[in-house]
Amino acid sequence: MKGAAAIIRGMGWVLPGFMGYPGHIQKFKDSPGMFPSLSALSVLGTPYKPFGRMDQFSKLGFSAIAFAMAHAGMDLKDSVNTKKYPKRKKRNIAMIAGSRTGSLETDFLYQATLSGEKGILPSPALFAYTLPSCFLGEAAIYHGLTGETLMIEDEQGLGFNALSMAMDNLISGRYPMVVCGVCNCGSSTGTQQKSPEPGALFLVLQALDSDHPVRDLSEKENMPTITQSTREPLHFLCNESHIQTMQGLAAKLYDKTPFKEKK
Amino acid sequence: MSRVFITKTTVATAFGFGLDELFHSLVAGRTSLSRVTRFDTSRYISKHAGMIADLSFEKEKACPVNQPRILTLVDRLVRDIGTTAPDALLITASTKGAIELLEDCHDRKIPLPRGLMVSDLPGIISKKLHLYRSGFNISAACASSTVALAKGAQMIRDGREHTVIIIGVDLVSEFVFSGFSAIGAMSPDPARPFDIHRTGLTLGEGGALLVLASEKELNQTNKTPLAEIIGWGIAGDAAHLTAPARDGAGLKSAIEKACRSANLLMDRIRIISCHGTGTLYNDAMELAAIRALFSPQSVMANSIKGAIGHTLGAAGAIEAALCIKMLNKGSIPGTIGLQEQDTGAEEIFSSLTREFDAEHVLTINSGFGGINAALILKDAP
Repeated sequence: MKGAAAIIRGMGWVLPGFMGYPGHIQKFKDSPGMFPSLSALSVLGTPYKPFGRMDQFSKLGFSAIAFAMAHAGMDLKDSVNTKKYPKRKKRNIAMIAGSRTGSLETDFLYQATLSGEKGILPSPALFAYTLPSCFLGEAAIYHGLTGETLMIEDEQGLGFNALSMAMDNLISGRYPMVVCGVCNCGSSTGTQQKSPEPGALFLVLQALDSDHPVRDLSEKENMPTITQSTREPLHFLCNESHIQTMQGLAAKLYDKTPFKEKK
Repeated sequence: MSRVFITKTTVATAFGFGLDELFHSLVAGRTSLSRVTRFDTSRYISKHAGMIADLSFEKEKACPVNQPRILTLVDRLVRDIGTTAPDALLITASTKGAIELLEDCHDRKIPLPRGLMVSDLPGIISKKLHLYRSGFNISAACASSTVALAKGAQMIRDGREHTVIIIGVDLVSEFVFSGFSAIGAMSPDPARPFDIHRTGLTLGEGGALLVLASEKELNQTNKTPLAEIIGWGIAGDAAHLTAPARDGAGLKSAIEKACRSANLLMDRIRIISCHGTGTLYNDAMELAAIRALFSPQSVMANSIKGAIGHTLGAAGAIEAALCIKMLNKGSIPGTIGLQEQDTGAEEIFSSLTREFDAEHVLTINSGFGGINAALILKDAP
C-alpha cells in the first residue's frame, strides 16, 4: 500500500476537565467535567481583547488551535509587535476543522435575542459567530495563517473527513503544514441523534518532506506520524480500527493519554 | 491526474427553477428582488429579498415539525437532475441550512428536529439521491459552495473520486435577515453592486446542484460535458473577521492559485463572475484585486446579486452554474442595479449584457473569516 506520512508537530485540546497540550496541562479547578470560563490569559498567556468577544464554540476551537501551535513551537515566533497585540507574519498554512454541532449553542443564544421581549434587538457581535467557521478566521488572524480555512460538518462530527482532507493537502504538496482538528459544543442541545463528546482537539500536521524546519532532528524522529493511502479514504499505518475519535487517535499516536496530567 | 468535468447542473433562484430561466431573466435585465412577506421586517434596515415563491412546507412523518423548506428546495433540484451514480460523493454547502426550525424549538421544549443542524443535511440528501455514503457539508461562510466545488474538483483530479455531487443551498430566514441588518451590511434599497452609490447587500435564497465527473467516468458513461473546471484556489486574508482585506490580498492569492492550478496565464482570463455583494468594502476589495491582476480594458465582469440577492453559501454554486451558460452562449449578463460605476469599475462592469469570445470564465467569492475562493471554468470541449 502506497502511503505518505505527516508529522504531528503539535497537538492541543480543550476537553471537560482539562486543557492544554502534552507536558502543559491545566486542570479546571472548580467543576471537573465542565468547561471553565476560558480567558485569553489562561490560553495565550497574554491579554487579547478579541478573545473576550468570541462565543463559547469559537473559544473552544481557537484555544485548542492556540495550544497546538504552542506545542508545535509556532506560537510566539515570527511575531511583529503592533500597538495592541503581537501580529504574526503571514504564513501559507491551511486550517480544516470537523464538527457535528457547529455553532448550535450560539444559534440558540442569537435566536433568544430575536425572540426576546420587545425592545431587544439582535446582537451583531453574536451573529457573526453563528457562522461556525468564524473561529478559524479568528485563529488565522491571530496566527497569521493565509491558507484555506474551512469547516467540514458531518453526522459523526469526529473530524476524520477533515483529517483526510488535511492529509490530501500535505501529500499533494499544496501546503507544508495544515492545522486540523475537531470542535463540538456542549451536548445539552437535546438532539434526536447521538452527539460527539464536546470539546476541541487540533493537530499541527507537517508534511514529512516539508522545507519547514522541525525544531531539531531528534525531535523530528520522535514525532508521531500519520500515514494515508492515496487511494483509500483513510488508512493509518498503526491500523487502529477501534479508534473512534480524534482524541483517541491523538492519544494513541502520542502513546499517552492526553486527558491525564503528566508527572 | 484526471480532468474535471461538469456533467449536469440545475439551479433554483427567486426567478424560478432551471438555469435557462435564470440566464434569460438576467439577460432581459429583470430583477427578482421584492418586498419580504415571510416575516415582519419593520425592525430591519432592508425590506427586500430574492425569495422563491412556491416553497411550501411538506410533512415529514418521523418529525414533530414540518419538513424544512430547504429540503423541499433540494427535492426540486434532485428531481431536476435525475439519476446519479450511487458511489458518488455528496458535498453540500450551506451556511445555516434549516435554521428557521430554531424558531419552533428555541425553548428546547421539544427534541431538536433532524435537519436543524447543517451536519444533518448531507445524510438526509444522500438518501434522497440513493448514495452509498452520507458525504459532508462544507462551511466556509459565503464562499462555501465555491470551496466545495474546489475541493470536489481536487478529489477528482487526485483520483480519489470519480463523481462528486455539489449542492449549494441557503434560504432567507428571519434569523439570517436580522443578523445582516444588525451588522449594518444591508441596503435599504435593492443592492447595486459596484455602483458608486451602493449602500449594502440584499439577501436572496436559492440553490444549485452540479455533478462533477472524472474523465474516466465521462468516457465510461458517454456523457456530454457541459464545461470543465480547470483551476481553483482558496486563500485567507488573516486580517479581519467580518471585513475583507482592503487591498484584496487574499482574493488575489486565490486567483493566482487558480491560474497556477489551471496552468493558465493570467491574461487568458477575460470574463469574471464577481461576488459583488453591493457592500462598500466587499466590492472595493474585489475591484482592487481585479485591477491589480488584470488590465481593466481586457476584462468584462458582473455580479448577479442585484438581481437574485446574496444567496450566501449557495452563491458560488449558482454563479458557477451560470458561468456554464455564459460560456455556452458567449454572453455575460449585465449587473442589475448598477447605475453609475464606482471609480475604477467603469470599463469592467456594465448594466447591459455583453457578448464575448473567450473560452474561460473566472468566478470568485469571499466571506466572513477572510476566506476567498476562485474557480476557472472552461467551455465544453
